[in-house]
Amino acid sequence: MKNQLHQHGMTPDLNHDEAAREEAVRAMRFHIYSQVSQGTRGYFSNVVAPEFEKANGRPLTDRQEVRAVMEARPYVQLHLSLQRSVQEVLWNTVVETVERQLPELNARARACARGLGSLTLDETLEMPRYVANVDIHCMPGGYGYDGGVPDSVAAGAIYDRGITMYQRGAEGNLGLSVIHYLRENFPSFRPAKILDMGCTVGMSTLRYCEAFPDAEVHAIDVAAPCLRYGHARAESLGYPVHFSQQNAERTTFADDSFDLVVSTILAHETSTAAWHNILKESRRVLKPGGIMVHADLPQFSDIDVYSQFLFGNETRYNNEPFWSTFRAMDLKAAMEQAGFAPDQCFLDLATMVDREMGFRNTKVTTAARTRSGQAAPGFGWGVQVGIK
Amino acid sequence: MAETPPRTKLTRVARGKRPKMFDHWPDDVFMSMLTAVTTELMVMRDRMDTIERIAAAKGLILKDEIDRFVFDDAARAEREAARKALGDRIFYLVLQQAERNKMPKRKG
Repeated sequence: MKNQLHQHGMTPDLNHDEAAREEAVRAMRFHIYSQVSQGTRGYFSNVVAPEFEKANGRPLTDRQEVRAVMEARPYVQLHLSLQRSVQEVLWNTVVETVERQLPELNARARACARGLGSLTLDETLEMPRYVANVDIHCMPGGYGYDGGVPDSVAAGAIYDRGITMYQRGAEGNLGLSVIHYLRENFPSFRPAKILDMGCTVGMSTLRYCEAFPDAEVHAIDVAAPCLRYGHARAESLGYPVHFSQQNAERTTFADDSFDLVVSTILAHETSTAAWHNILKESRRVLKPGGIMVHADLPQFSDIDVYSQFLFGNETRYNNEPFWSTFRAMDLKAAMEQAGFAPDQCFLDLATMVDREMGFRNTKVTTAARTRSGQAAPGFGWGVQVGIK
Repeated sequence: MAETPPRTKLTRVARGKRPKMFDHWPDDVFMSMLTAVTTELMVMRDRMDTIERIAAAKGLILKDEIDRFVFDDAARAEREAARKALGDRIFYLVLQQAERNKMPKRKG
């Protein structure tokens, strides 16, 4: 029953029932995200949307309207209720495993350092409100959670285990997708110094170490337990990363420090004001000619109205308060406001790739796919690209 | 692995409003319980399967032994603790609501 894949120095021990419980949660997630979810999409296109059009003489075009008509339907209530409950069982499963062995995990983290990279914590750093006020993804305690224990890796261990249940074997794929995007669009680009903002436990960060082995890689986050865990994880896997506890809105790095500044699925967990600050800070720390790539899920304008509704659910059902606001933001204007020249910044879709650089399909239908009526080889991550 | 009692209890409560999916809140609770029960049923099925396979590999026929088995106090206590942990998982949402009801209101 032991999961031998993707082991690293911080992988918690799983006893028989804990491993079985993880498999059970994966099985239920599969049911929800393939079967139940497809049922909801079919219900929308076959029943709810035609009924609305007949009654109102026009199609459904607005995600709020889709929400209103969908949430009134018992099947949709069942789907959303089940989804939320499985999410809670997922975290309960993980928390129990971590709780049982937290002192040992903390000790392992302290012993993991091999002097490859570094860990710099700042106890005085104030947690930004968007992280402090809500537990994103319903992860109990949130990113900064230490369980009241000094030198704790609690939130890092809980997050890492949770992610492996979300996407076993896909850890860091978003980083890979950004690297793939850079190779396609900037083939001669070889960054010597890289900054990963909002790295959490550094899953994507390590992909940059792999892809650019000569580069000096820095990773920042506001959450100490995640950084402790991420540092130990990176050291155990043999990757040199300099982790530091910093807010990406205002870092301590000097102007013109980095060739590449990246983030992966950070943006939608911040706030409008914070994201403006982070874009500005990204540009400040970039060297002239340096490249910024912030990757997140695509903007609402890139996906059909049903997918907008489906993704919009994350805001209400998975504690992602900024998700919908972010995805309706004018990011091109925001990059220009941050100082990027209009012809040196743009929004794009980066192909989703996995470790073997193969395409991965997902449940998302982009507007382009709907128009052509054909399945695309994958779906895109939304990337905000700026060149200083 | 060395045990280091007492164990620090980690929170199971995620801050942020839990949306109500059904018209009646208890229906949400039933779904939560059903999800947990399903999980535990899958876990138990896996465990039984493991036991049966190990036993079969050793040539053991367990059925008669199971029916004749007498519990001592230690075994009874261990089983009681496991049953309590199972209940904590299945009654998660009811227990969480109880916790939330006990907590002072947070800002934000």
